[in-house]
Amino acid sequence: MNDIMKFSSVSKRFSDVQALDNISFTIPDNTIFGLLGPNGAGKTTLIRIITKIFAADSGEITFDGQNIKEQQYANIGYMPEEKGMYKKMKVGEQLIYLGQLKGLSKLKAKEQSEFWLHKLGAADWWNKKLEDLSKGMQQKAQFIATVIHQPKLLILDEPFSGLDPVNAELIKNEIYQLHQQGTTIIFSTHRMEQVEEICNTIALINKGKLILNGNVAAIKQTHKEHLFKVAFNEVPIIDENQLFEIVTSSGNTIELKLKQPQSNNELLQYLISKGNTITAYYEILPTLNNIFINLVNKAQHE
Amino acid sequence: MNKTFLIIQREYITRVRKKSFILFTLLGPVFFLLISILPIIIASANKSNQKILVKDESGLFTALPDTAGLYFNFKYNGLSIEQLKGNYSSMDGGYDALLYIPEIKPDAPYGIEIFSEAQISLTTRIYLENIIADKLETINLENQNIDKQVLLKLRPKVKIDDKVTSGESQKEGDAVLASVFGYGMGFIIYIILLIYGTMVMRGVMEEKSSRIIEVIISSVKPFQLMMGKIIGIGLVGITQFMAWGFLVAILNVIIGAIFGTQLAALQQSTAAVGGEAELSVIAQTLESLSAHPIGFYLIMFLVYFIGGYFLYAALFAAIGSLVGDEETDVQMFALPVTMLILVSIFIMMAVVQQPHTPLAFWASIIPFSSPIVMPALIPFGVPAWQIALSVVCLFAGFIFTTLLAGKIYRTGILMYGKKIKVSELFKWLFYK
Repeated sequence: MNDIMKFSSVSKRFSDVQALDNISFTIPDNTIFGLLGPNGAGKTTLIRIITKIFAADSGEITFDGQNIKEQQYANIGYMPEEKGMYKKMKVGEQLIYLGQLKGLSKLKAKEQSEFWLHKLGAADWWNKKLEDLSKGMQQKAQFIATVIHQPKLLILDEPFSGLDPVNAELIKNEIYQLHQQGTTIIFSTHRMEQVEEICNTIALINKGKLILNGNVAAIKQTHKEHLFKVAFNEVPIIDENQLFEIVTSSGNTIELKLKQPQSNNELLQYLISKGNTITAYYEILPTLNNIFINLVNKAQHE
Repeated sequence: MNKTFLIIQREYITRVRKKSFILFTLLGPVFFLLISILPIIIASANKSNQKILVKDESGLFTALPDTAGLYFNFKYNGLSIEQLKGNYSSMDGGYDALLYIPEIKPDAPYGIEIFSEAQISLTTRIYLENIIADKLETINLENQNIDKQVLLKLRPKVKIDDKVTSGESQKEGDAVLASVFGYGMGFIIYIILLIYGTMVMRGVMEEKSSRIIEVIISSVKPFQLMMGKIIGIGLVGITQFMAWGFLVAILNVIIGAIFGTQLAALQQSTAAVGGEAELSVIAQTLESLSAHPIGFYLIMFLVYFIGGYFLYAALFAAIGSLVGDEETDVQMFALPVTMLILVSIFIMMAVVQQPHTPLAFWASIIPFSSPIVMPALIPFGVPAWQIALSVVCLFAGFIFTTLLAGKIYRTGILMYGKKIKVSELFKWLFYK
């Protein structure tokens, strides 16, 4: 798989704040990439460098193998965290204008606006002023403005904030569809459960430093704590042993932690040898949320 | 460039289509004309016809000329003043006033009185005094055997012809007309800078507070957006002025057709009062008007309009980018820039009185004041090299403020909820 973006030692400083400190990572082509970090970590700065709003002080960024400086605005669609459009402008006109600014012809922009409004069940909004729409509707219009020019890379900063569950689901499905059509999506958030659900690959930054990067499943594997959950048909008989210790137990179910990572089978043999009947057995992988909190806390103590 | 054009287009069209713009453009000239003809209308509406009964015991007056809504009647000269005093307001359907001229000598007209139920106006009283004095003057001249024409010749009218020498050439000067042109052009530019500069500032604030700014500048460079806005709004201003010029011309024709005769009559009556002297002043003004190169003034006006507008609009855009959400801070932030414009207009008013001072010179060179001061000075005659220097400085100035404003704007539009220190502004100038 090719990398669509590559960051090499990128740094950016604002008078008294080091917003990005020597950041290097890559974004594989056609992934849904989670850009994570607490508020003020440097996510927005990084995005603004990608969208060419700022330039980095040092380091190199390539987009599709090209230096970012030569990259076309038309390749990127960006939906900022703080959403906004011209309040007094009509939806149709506004979408055409924003599409044209991205390099579409007027005709193409009109075609795309109509297509998307229709797709999101909003065909009758064309002549409505934005200020006359509800907040959720405005956000849909904003999403259309972001994808209207069919960008290779889509950057969504907290795209679901302020959306009701129905509309959030609708937008989520659109994101999946775009992904299937080959679009790479950078999804910036601090809501971990969304990341776990949507993203394949992530980068976690904190205070301008990259602290975690890679495939979500792989990250979970490396950060796992060898916790297992075992359920029995009745309250199990377990003695003190060298293999594991019990973390919690409630009725027929126990949570245990292996002392030796590679001793799954021994554990099962031990439990069976005690005359217990196992009804369920699975490994508890850490949530990204836990990994995130642990790493951020650890970084703070350092 | 193509995208800048798109932005210009949007800024222009959304504003020109607004109801408030159309209304202001259509009603502006009507409003302006109303203001200019209102005093005449009000004055004529206010003028009631007054009938004045005259009791003349001196026998010097047989008639007084009826004018300006005053009608005189000598009908009851036979009755005594006491009888008239009691009854003038009920005789012949009622007289408004009773003018009593006792037995007077033409050179000692004491004891003239006027009686009325309602206080007569100052203008009526002065008018009466004047016509009585005129009549007495004629009588006195006859008594002394002096020909009125001879008397007029004894005090000839003096006029100093005012010529401006610049090098070899010499041209007619006219301080009054030059002041009119100067004031006019200076004021119009002042108004343009304030109205459209503020419009640019509001436009930037709107984009910042509606948060669309980040979407736009992920499509175009901030500088393109700023320039697009400035040019678009500048075109709105030009459109509005052109529409006004056109409408005023049409209105002039219409008003001329409707009120033409009335206006001519009005002019005649004033001419009659002022006499021939005033007519010759008008003729002279028209003559020296042709000595003023109006076409050249218009070109200079346009140059300073464009240069001044760009210079100040860029500053206003930078200020708009710093303000954002807090509407209340706008005036305070804009103060340094509006002060520059206000100081310029005060300098302009001073230098129109004294056009050839060092203050006038420097104010016409420094780009912050030159857009207002120089157009006001040009009708008084400014050397070509001074105009050239001023124009070069103005355009250098506007390039400088535009670049400076661009740097501040770029960072300012993305700053929210943070008080910005002046020292930080300087750091912004060096961001990548």
